[in-house]
Parts: sequence; structure tokens; C-alpha cells
Amino acid sequence: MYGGESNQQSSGAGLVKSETPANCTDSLGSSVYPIQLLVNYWEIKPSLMKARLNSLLRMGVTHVATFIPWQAVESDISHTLVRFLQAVSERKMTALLILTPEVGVHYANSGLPKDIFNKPENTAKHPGDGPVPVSLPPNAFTLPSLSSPEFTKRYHNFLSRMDTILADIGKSQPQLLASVTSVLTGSFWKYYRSARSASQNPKTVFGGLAGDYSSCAELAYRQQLENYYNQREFMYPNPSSANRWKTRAMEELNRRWFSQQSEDVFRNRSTQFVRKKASDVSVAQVELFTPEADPGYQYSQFFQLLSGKSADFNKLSDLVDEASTRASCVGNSRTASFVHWTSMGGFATLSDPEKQFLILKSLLLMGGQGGGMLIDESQWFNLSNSFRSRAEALARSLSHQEMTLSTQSLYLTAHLWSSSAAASGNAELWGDLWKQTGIHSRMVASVDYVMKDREAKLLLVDPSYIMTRETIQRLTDWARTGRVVVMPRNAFYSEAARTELETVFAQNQNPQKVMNINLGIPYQLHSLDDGKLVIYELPESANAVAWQRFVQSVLSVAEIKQDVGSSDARLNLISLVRKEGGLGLFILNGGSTSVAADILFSGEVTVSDLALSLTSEQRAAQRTAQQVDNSEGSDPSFVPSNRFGLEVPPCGVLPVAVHGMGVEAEERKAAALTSDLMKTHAIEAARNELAGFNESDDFEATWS
Amino acid sequence: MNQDWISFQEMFYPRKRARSVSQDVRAPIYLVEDQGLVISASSEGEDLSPWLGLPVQEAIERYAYLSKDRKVVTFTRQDVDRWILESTTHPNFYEQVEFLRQQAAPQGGTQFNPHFVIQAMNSWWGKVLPSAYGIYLSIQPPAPTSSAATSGSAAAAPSQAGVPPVKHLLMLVRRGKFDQFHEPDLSSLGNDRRHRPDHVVKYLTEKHLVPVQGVFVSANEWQEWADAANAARAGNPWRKVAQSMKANRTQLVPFRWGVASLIATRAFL
Repeated sequence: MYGGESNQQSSGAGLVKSETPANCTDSLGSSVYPIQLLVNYWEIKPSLMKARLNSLLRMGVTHVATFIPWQAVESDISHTLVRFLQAVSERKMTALLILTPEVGVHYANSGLPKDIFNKPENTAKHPGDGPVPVSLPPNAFTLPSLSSPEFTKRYHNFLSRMDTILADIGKSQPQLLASVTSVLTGSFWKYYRSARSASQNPKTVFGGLAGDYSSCAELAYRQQLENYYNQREFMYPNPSSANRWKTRAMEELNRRWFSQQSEDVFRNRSTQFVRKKASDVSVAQVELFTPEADPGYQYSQFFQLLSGKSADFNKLSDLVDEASTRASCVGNSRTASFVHWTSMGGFATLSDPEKQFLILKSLLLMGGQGGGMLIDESQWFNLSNSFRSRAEALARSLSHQEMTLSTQSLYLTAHLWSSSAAASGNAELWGDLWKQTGIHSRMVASVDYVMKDREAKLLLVDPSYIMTRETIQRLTDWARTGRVVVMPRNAFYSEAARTELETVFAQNQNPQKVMNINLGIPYQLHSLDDGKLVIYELPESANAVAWQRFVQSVLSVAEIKQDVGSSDARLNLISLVRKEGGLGLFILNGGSTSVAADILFSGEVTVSDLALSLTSEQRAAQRTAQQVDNSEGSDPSFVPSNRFGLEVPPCGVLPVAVHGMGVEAEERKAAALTSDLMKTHAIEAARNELAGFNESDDFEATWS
Repeated sequence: MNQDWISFQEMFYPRKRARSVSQDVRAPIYLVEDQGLVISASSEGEDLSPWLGLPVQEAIERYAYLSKDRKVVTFTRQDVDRWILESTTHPNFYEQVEFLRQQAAPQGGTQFNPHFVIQAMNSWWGKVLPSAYGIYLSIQPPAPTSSAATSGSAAAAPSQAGVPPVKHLLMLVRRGKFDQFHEPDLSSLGNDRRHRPDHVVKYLTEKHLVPVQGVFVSANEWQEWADAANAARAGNPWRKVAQSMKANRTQLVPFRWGVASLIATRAFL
């Protein structure tokens, strides 16, 4: 059992983490260890730097992460950063340096230079035309606009300066750079939302339209809009065709596109600046999310500050759930998603069981996708030894990809941080997809991400996505490899895209390859080689039930089904695919009372304690025991069934190893089905060919 | 850092180990409403997510079993947004939070009980104490023997197995407002001087040019005082402070009759 345990005084050494981060890759393999301990290097007095790192080393920490507050670098007359890196290198530790401005940094204004805030034009505005406050210590402030030319220029200067500092260190002490990885994150883009829109839809915390609506962003938006629609794609068949894209009716669509494009450009440019001189330094692309700073949490935090009581645990848990479904990429590289738990906000006010629950949830959801969790080292060592050991074991397992969170379906949206566009009425396709597939669906904003994905069997395209010819070509190619692509039939296709789609339809000359289906939402199902293409209509008045049914039907077309469920909706299930076969099923109870429920499987399986499996020295013993018991068939934990009863304590995370599910189980089922079919055909053939054949005869006696 | 909120929080609002299973049934329920609908709802330990999206009155009536005999404090979304934005004009988080509490107070919105020391510093003591002064709190690890509890060593003692490190916090108050609160840097004091309370307080006084009152107390006593303040029947925390001073378990360095009188006033009047 993880979590839900009483805390013990933290003492003694923690487990050693000796993972050395590799260069950034776009594979699911984690280049960043799932548990990152945050050290605020600027708070360590230079004379105490060595002693502080020695104390961390004694506690088994060999790998730390630190923000690099912009203002701290600009005013670093004591060369604190260099001393820190030297001390890290001398102790053969490694350090992640988070260069991008982020929220939740224990530095005034999150380390941003104060003079940036003096000009109102540098302040970001959310779509409700208000500033975006972040209420975390050491002081609440309003976010600056990342589209502001002044901000951008100074930020790039800061990155260049960091690049120079690292390059200079590399010349004089090359061994020091081997211990350093620069980290670039998504910065403030995801927080450009109003607390109102984030709270209005109870089904999602990423509600409403996101984006920067400041005057600087507005100017950039107008310029980008002109540039984008001046492309040949949109001027076909004649230049005036581009005008329909710039009308007021297309404003929301264009804003979504612009917000995503701005973030992509910001991230790509940041990457260029940190690799000009210090090209030997590893760079990791991370999507860092601080739930305590999210606009969706703002009102909860207001209440917590008024009452002085604990933070809203349920809201923080929901934020982690939703953030785990967002998958971003920079260029061709997927980012690693990390959750950041601060020592200053609501997280610090939670009880130990609640913190443990959130930590484990973050590890499972983010670490299962190659990401993890960033936590202040003081918060980490306040937790009990036994919990930390178990969390470390889980993190090691995730970093070695012994367990991964599978992706069954993708949702392609125009902007990752805005809510999905309404299909019709208030129906949201993404909401229905998430409800039915849970943590195995990902929202993405990049076709490159889709093309690189090897797991997902289904792709739904958001109704607000602008379809170009190239997008149609790429998505249909993706579908041809045995997958299903679902696209809306709406006005947001360029003429070239429409022509391309007609070409695809024309290639399906065989009428049997096209089906027209209407279960409330009419759609056409086209066969594309091994895959399928679904084009659905957007009726003006379709109720939520019709959309739910539509999503169910496309899921069944893609042969996606839920193999595991619970009889009590209060339990959350996180199933990870294990490299050695089977599933690692984690059953989470975030409530304040114990929940007794049944876990239901689509077929007969056996279960055992996964916690034992995660401890390497016990794994071999368990395998031996398993072999002995399998041969004897006496151990009750190996009795197959499709239903198991259990009880999970409050804030508990129950790890269960499930055997007989996953790819091998599917193959076994398929083999069993094939065997049955062959038997049926054989009997039928025998009945037809052999006179006097009776299938109830004793064959052995006959042949003998 | 001049306003070290983490150290401030650790000193005055220690972490919770266990989740509170039995919620205070009289804890208020906070709502934010927008155009008559609940968009945010919170009460400690409760999951009020079913309230979201409902009209305020309907939510209260539908979940009457929760809201019965409890105060339901409703704020309008416009007010909350405005207060949060206005709070950013204040210089540090402490003042920003105080601003929010002041704005919410007329609606009965704050149930926050500040630490009894902070409460005293914000009370009529401000009229008696100098316009600028400092308080240096040094919390010693629980002593293994009775003699160690009275040693009152100033700086961080060498850590013992299973014993938490000493906490210390310097708070500087100017014109009634918290100007700075942080762990002071005593590294320029020699090793010997760092363990002498009088030297530490003198150093801080000279460095910050304000009179600094040192308070040296064991972690056990500090926790006892906080428990007494939280539990109505456990006794007046100031009485415990006075008793501890009388028994020499707590040291005021330097000993100032004025400060002792203030404590005695709170303890016995």
C-alpha cells in the first residue's frame, strides 16, 4: 500500500538516485529522472554552499534541480551560480537548471526583473481582458506578456548570458558541464486564463479560451494573421479567398491558432539561444505545471488564505488529472511533463497522507509518460522514510520504462491550453472522449506529435482545427497504417484541403468501402487501406447523449475498450503496461473515507502485490514462488477471476500486478477465437464431405 | 531574501501529519458566485464539487445536510477578482494576505486565527513597542536532559539523530508592519559567538539598527504554547509563556522589563 500511512519523523539517508540525465530525446524513455528535488541555490549563502550539498549527499541525493531566477543571474555579483555548479560537480552530483521563467519560484516576482512590471503594456491579459495574477509567496504579482517585444528582447539576452556563462565554464572546467542539463519549459503560456472561465465549467479546470490578449499580443496577432493567410494554401483558387479567414466569425478560431503558434515559436527560439555557444550542454524540453499557481485553483487558494486551513486537496488532484492529458512537443521532440509542488502554496498546508497521494499520482500519470514530479527538497525530506523508499522504487521502475502509461487515443486541438471547441450546443468531444477512455487519451496540438505516435489507435480532430492540404495528407497517411482518424465536416478547410479530401474519397471507388451511419450524429466511414477515416457532420441541434453515442461508436470502430473498471466511481484506476507483461494497476482513493469495491476485468486474470515486484531483491523471490505456486496451483492470489474485491483506505494508493492482460492476453484470446473458428469450419467441412459423419461420434474410436 | 515566507510558515504554521478525519462541523462553507451560479465552493475536508454550476440558493437547499448550522459565506466573483488584483499592489505576501482578509471580513469571510505571537504583535502592543523593532525567535531542539533545555544556544546546534534542527527567525517590524522576516545570516559570527545568545542579539541589533528582542525556547515549549492557543480549554498560551520564563526554561535576551510586563499583562489580566 502506498500513502494513507501515518508519518514518521524523517531521519536517516534516503535512497540514492544516481540517474544521469541523457540528452533530450523524443522517445518515451525518460531523459529526466521522475523525482526531481528542488534546491534554491540563491538562498544558500556562498560560505555554506559546500556544507549544504554535503548534507544532501549524506541523505542520498546525487541529483538536484534548481530554477535560475532571471534577476538572480543579473545581480549575481558573488557568482553564486558558478559556485553552486562547482560544488555540484566536485561532489559528482548532477543538476538540472530550469532557465525558462516559471511560476512558483521562491524569488520576488518569480525572479523576473522588477522594471518589466512597471509598464502596463508589458502585462499579459487573459481573454476576459484582465491581468493574470499569480498568488504565491514571496509576493503575488501579475504575469508579464511573453509577446511583449521588450520582455522578449531581455529574455533572449538573459538566455544568451546563460549560454555564455555555461560556455565559459565549459572552457575552463569542462568536467563541470557534464553534470549539468539545461531545462526549457513552457513558461507562462498555460496560465493565460481567467479564473472565471477556468471555474465555470465544472467538468474541466482548463475551461474557456486561453491566450494573451494584451496590446502587444494583439499587435503580433494581427501581423501573424496576415502572414499566415497570405500563404498560397489560403489564396487558392484566388487571392480574395483568404479574406473569409480573417472575418470576425473566425476570430476565436484564429486566436486559438495564434496562441499555440506563439508558444511554439517562443519555445523554439529559446532552444536556439541556449545552444549557440554551450553546445555541449544537454538540453531537456519539459512541460512544467504548477497546480497551485493555476487560475483554476485561484478561488480555492483565496478560501485557503481566508481560513488559514488546508488547501483544496480535491481541486489539486483534479488539476493533476487534467494536466496529465496534455502532451506538448517542441519541434520534433516530445516534452516530458512534470508537476511542480511548491513549498510555499497550498501543497505545504496538506497533511502527509494527502501529500503522499498527490506525489504518487503525479509520478504515475506524468512519470508513466516519461515525465515526473518536481518537489522542494525540504518538502520531500519531511515525508517518512518508508514512503520515500517506495516512491523511489516506483520512480526507478518508471525511469527504466518497466511500466508505461499507454495512449489509446489522441485529440488534435488548435490550442493545448484552451478548452476544446464545442461541437454543437454545449457538447464537447474531448470531454466525452476523456470520460470514456480516461487517462489513456492525450490532447495534442501538433501533427508532428501525431505522426510520431505508435500507440494510439484513434485520432479525433477538434472542430476548431484549421485543416490544410498537408494536414489532410499526413492524417490520412497516419490512418492508412491501421488506425482511425475522425474529422469534422465544417467550414474550416482550405480549398486545397477540401480538394485533397475529395481525392481521398475518389480513390475509394468501391462503395463497400464507404458506410453512412447516423446514431444521432451522421457520419461517413471510409476505409483507407488498413485504417479508417470518419467524417462527421456538425448538426445544429444535437444533444449531449447523441455526442456520447458518437464517441462510443468511433471508439468501437477503433476497437478501443476499457479492460478494467471499478464498481465504485470514487476509486480512480491508473493502469500501466508492464514491460514484462501484464498490467500494473494502481487503485487510488482520494476521499476521506475507506472505499470497498470490486475491480472488474474484461476477462479472467490473476493478481498479486505489485509493491513486492517493484523491489528488485524481492522480485526474484516472487518469481520463484510464483513458479512453484503455479505448478502446485494452491496459492489463492493466483486463482483467475474477472472480479476482485478490495478496500482502499483514505488517500490510499493500492498497487496490484495483473497477469493475463495486455498484449499477450489479447493474442491468447485471438488464438482461442481462431481455434474455435477452425474447429467449427472443420466440423462443417467434414459434415459436407464425409457421408455419415456425425459430430457427436467418438473420433478416437473411429480413427483407432 | 527579506521576506522568507517558507521559514515564516514553518515557524508559525507547522505541517500537519495526519489528515483530519472528523471535520469541524461548524467550519464555514465558502462560495464564489457568478451571475447567481456557484463557480467555486470550499470547506476544509469536504468535497463540494457537486455544488458547482448550481444556483446558490438551490445548492444550499439541496445540500442542506451539509450547510445546516454552518455559516455559508458567499462572495461575488467580481469582488474576489478585484481584491486579488488589488492585493498585488502590496509589497509582500504577508501584507497581501492581510489585505484579502480585511476585504473579506465584512462578509464574515475570515475564520483565520493568527499565531498568538503574531496576534499580540498586531495588537495594542504596537502602541507600546518602539516604531521599529525586531524579534528574534530561536527554537531549540528538544533537550535530551533537563540542563540542555536551558542552555538556549543561539545558532543551529549540531543535528542529533532523530532530533529536528533548530529553527530561528528574525522579524523586523517598522511602523506596525512586518518589514522583513527571514532566517538571519550568522555566518560572520565566529563559532563561539554564534552559540551565545547575547552576542547573537547584539549582532542583529547592530546590523539592523533596531532594538532586537531575543526569545530562546525549546521546541516542546513552543509547541505547547501553540496547542494552548488552538485549544480553548488548554489554557492561556501567555500564561504558559510566563510560567516558562519564571522557571527559566525560556530566555528573553536581553531581559527587558517592558517586554516581560507585556507578557505578564497578557498572561494574568
